[in-house]
Amino acid sequence: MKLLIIEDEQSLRDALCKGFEKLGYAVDTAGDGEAALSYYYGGLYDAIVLDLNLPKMDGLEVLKAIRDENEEAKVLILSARSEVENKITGLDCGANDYLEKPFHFKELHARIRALLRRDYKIRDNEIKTRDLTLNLALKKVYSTTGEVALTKKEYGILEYLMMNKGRTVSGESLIEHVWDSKVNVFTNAFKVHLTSLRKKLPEGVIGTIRGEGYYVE
Amino acid sequence: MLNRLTLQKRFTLVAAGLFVLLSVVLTFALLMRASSLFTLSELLAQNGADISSSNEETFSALLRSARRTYLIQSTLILFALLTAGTVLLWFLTKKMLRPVTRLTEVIENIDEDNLPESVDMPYKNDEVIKLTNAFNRMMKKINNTMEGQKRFVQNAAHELKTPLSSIMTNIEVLEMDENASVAEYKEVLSITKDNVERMNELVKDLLQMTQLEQKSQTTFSFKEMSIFNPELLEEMKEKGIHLEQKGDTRLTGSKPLLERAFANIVHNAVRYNRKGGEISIICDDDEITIADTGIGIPADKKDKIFEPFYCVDFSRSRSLGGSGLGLSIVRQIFFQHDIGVSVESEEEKGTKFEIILNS
Repeated sequence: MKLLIIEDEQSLRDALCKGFEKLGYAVDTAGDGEAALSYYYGGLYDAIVLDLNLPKMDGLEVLKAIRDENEEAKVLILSARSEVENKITGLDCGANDYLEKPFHFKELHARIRALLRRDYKIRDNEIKTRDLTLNLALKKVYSTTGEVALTKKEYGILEYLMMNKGRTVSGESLIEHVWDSKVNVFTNAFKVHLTSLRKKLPEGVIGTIRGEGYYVE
Repeated sequence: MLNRLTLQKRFTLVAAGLFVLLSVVLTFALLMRASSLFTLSELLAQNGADISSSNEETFSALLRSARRTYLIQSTLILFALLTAGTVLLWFLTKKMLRPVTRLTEVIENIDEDNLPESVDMPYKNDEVIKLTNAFNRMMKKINNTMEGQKRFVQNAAHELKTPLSSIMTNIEVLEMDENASVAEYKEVLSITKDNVERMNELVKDLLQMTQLEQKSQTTFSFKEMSIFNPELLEEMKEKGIHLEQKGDTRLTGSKPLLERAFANIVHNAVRYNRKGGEISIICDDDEITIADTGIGIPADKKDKIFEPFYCVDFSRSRSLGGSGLGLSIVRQIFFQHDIGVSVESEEEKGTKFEIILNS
């Protein structure tokens, strides 16, 4: 899952980035409104965390620009403005959620998870396929014999495939959602991660359709 | 004693007293006149009798009884009228004072949770309308002040929330990792320290804003003021800023307060200046000009810079350590000293503060 974090306060931005990376997300960060939009136009994000007081371009304008282009994008506003009017304006402008600063990181993560589940009609934090269980909150995978130890990238690939259970996902799309924009990932690197993931899982969990992509049943 | 009674009672008492006095005087005069009219000859003439043939004693008795009857009747009528008049007066004053009573009722219902914008005026062309107007004007001022206070507190809270969020998130993210390295702990500690310092600056400025009462008044020259503290000089040296100072002038007022005001302006001139920029301070008899070669202020934002917590560019000011209170402290101090201040600015060229003394 790939996040875009838009926050002008550098120490907070870095902490958020570090926190979500620890949880296995791919994270891009922007410190002002213009940078945020150029990131947004250049990448595919599963969720966006947006601060409202931004230099160059106000957070609400960024939100409107995103909404103009994409009605599906999931945006969570993270703001120190705590008056009810601000929350109403934010949500009416198209935000999916509003979290007031100061906040608990765990709550922010839970809200992001809730946003990410929305599209996939998943009401539970656990996704199952065959003998495999993936826990979205703990970011862990269990098989009949116990926990399957995965690297962050391996987990990211499996999570995205499980979230899209029953659909075929292209390699490019997997790269887009699992790696942040700072690194240039080549198909080969991705295939290395995929191969090692497949080795750790029971056989046949991840299927391939030549020329189209990968799937989990 | 009279002062302790209600207005309505006072009106009634005073009017009734006057009423009594006038009618007593008038009646008394009439009675005197009447008693001199009731003479023997007239009475005899009225009764169609002749003096000579009459019994003097009978006449005398007749006369006395007529006088008494008249006296009693007039006195009774007088008191009845007085009583009726006073009661009527009581009700009339009550009616006349009704707007005041209503205004009182409305005002009695006002408390800090229920502050109406204004009170209705049910009567026109009345003294009460003046009172109502005065009251409404006062309410408006109170409301504005309360609104301003509320905004100020909200802004202050907002400014404190940002560093707080940063500290909290940094700590919570560090806690996610059970085996975090010493370097990571140290980094979070240093971030926390920076943010605590920022909050400290803000709290200091907030306190300063409430402690701007004038201390002892003295007259001193501009050059006697210590505007440049060591930190400011350090910052100027770091940025390679050249200072030009010309002339001198005399100021009257609280020296520490004026020092703070000028220091805030000069600090902004340093903070928002470019590297190797210039600052000029020129003193005339009644004008001081402080100009810099900094980033300037956009024309549409010029009027707002004196408002508390207003920063032309929020994140730039924050990263430079501005609380957003500096210039509003300046405005308050100058206002207390009857000093005028105006700003001229051009973006990317610089800003000029013109301080007009004795304005």
